[in-house]
Amino acid sequence: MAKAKGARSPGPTPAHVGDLLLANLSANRQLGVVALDNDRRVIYWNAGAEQIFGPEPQEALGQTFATIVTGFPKRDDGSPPGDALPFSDSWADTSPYLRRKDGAEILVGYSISPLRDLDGSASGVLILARDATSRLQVEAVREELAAELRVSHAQLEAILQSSAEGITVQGPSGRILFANPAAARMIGYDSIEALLAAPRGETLRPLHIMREDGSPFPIDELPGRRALRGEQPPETVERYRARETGEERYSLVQARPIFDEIGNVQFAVITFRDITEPYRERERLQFLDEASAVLASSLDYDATLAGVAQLAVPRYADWAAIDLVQEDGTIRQVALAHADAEKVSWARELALRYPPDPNGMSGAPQVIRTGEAELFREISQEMLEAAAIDEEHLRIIDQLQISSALVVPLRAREGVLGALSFVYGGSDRHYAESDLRWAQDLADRAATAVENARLYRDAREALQVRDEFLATISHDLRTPLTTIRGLTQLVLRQSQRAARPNAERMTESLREVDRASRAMSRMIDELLDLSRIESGRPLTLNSEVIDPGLLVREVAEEYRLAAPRHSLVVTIGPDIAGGDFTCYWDAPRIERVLINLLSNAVKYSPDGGTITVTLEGSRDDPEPEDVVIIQVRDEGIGIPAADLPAIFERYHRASNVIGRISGLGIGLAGAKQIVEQHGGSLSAKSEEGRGSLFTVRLPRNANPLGHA
Amino acid sequence: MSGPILVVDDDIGIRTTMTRILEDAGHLVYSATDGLDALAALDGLFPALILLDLAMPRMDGWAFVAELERLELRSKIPVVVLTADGRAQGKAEQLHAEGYLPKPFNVEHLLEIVARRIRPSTEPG
Repeated sequence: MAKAKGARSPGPTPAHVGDLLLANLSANRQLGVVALDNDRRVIYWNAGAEQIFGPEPQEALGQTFATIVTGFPKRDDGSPPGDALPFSDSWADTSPYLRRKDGAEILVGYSISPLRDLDGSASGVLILARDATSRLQVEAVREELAAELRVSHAQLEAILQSSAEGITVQGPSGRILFANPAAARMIGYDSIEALLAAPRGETLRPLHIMREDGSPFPIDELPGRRALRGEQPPETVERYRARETGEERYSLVQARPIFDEIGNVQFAVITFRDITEPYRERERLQFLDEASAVLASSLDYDATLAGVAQLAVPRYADWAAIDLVQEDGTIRQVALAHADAEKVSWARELALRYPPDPNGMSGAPQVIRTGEAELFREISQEMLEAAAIDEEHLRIIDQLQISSALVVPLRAREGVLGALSFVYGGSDRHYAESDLRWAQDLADRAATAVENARLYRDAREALQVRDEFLATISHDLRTPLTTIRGLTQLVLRQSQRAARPNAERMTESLREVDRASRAMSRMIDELLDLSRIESGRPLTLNSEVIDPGLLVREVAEEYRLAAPRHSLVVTIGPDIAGGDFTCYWDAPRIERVLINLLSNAVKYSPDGGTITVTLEGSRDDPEPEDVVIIQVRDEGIGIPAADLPAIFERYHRASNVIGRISGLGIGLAGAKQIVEQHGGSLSAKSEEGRGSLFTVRLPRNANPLGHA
Repeated sequence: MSGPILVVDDDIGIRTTMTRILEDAGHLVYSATDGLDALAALDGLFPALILLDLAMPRMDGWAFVAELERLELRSKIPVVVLTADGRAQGKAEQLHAEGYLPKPFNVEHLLEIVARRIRPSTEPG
């Protein structure tokens, strides 16, 4: 619009000012100025309008406004957008999204007013518009951010609510400003509300807080308090006991101060994580390690087990006891521990007055019998009453305030060696299923230690038996060897000395040498047999046809000389004495059996007396002629009844002769083996102080075991 | 010094052997089967030397020496321990014996030990 742009005027007349304004408006890119005629066609369009609505002035001029921009809301009276009718009206508003011809969407703040002529008549509409699109976008973003913030706040809240870690925020006075449910629960409240309702300064009242080692924790040293003083305390283990239940737990606590802009502590954030389980696990492993060290410290397992029981109190039990099965099958308590030694001696006296029932249906005897652990989570008054022997006993048991017990077997390869018992009494603690694991672990270690100690002791004893055996063997072999060497040298001396040696004397000596060498050779045979038997191999019998009467007589003759204080009586049944009676036996071995029995008879009747040897066919046997009975009877010290069943065991010697009579204690075991391999039997009867009777029953035709 | 020798041993073979060797060397020899037997023999006999076995039934060598001391005979009769125990010397020292002879022994050695203490009663034959 050339006219409207106007020409430059030289002075500051009012008309000139108008031109100036118009010129400035035309160039203003911030404010859109649009004038419409009464037909709503554009008659003025400045640079700001171009900026906001799109078309250049040349393009816009003459166009109806509605073709340039769509989306202006219709007015309440239905008049078209951009209308200012009636012309008296004018208004300002923020538009909804408008669409430009190029498709862009815009938001504008606008005012519409009538365009009046100088006479006041309406000649069109004036629209002033400012682009609001970018400003509103900022608001939208702010809106979005606010919404997001609401969401994340909710999430944060949910996280705090569900966190397993306890989180509290304390104000400078120590008052708790915030606590999550885990915190409330860990301190011992049913709800956050209950916690926040606790009187100031009494929030932690449900807990007795200790240091890790159980010593008191001064309140000013607590990490939260330190953080409130502006310190950065390190992570700290707090041990605390619920005053109500007595339960002890551990927490790892961290506290951090939060400062305001000027550096004052605004509040402290305290997080605490329950580490009871891992802590206990670590503690248990440490305990088991210590126990292992104690067990390994000595082979005296009575002492080491006592040490283990002592280690367990009071951390894992108020009372710890270890019972072991003894060799005779009885159960003996080898260890009993309580933190208070006086209580231990008191309990020992109690056990003497009220000895535990070894056949009891619960506790150590039962666990030893079954090999199964027993857990008494909660020991009730009724259970105590049932276990009490009488009123007095019950009164004493009551004093112990037993609340819970755990009994685990000491398991070893050879069976259950004993039981390990833990009892809570007086501390109102309780064992749980989870305690079985470490308790059994400890019991297994103890059982292994006991077993090793016993194996070691057995091995030592076996070595000692072996040493003694070798000493005895060499002693017994040296005795005939002394005769052989001595008499041989004598004969040599005599033969060198005299031109015509005394043949009779030399023959006597050589006969003696022969006898001694036969005795030695028998010993060596016996040793070889013994080593076969010990390694579990049967003897190989070399049976031949012999006259048993002759055999018995020869052996008896040999012994008559060796036992000058004894009178040896040999009786041979008439059916055998004839000389036609033969047996099929391993003669040297049966000879050894007889010599064993005779030497025993001599040894065990040191004051002399009659030794009777009888040989006859069996009278009781259905086929008497097929079985021969040899009996050796003495009038000696006899064998105590308790030892009688064991006399055929190797190395066993009756308790009334140990240390008084030399000998291997292997003879009877070997004799029995020989007789049994001949298909016979060897038995003994004895009366202490009166003498013994050994009976050999032998089939005439040896039917050696395994060679039938 | 001369006089009879008392051999105390529970084994018949040893008693026979000792007796024959010592008699062959001209000694007068008595023998006993154990400590008790030996004590009984001492009733009418005062030996110049006792050859003593240790492990014996009824009364062993230790108890026999204790009896000798009780009877105040120990200082008057030398005792030589005669044992097949491998620790003969130690045992003899414990017993404060005048000597020891481990079994089996060399005849020369036996005669030398005996000769150190007594002369033969008769000429060897």
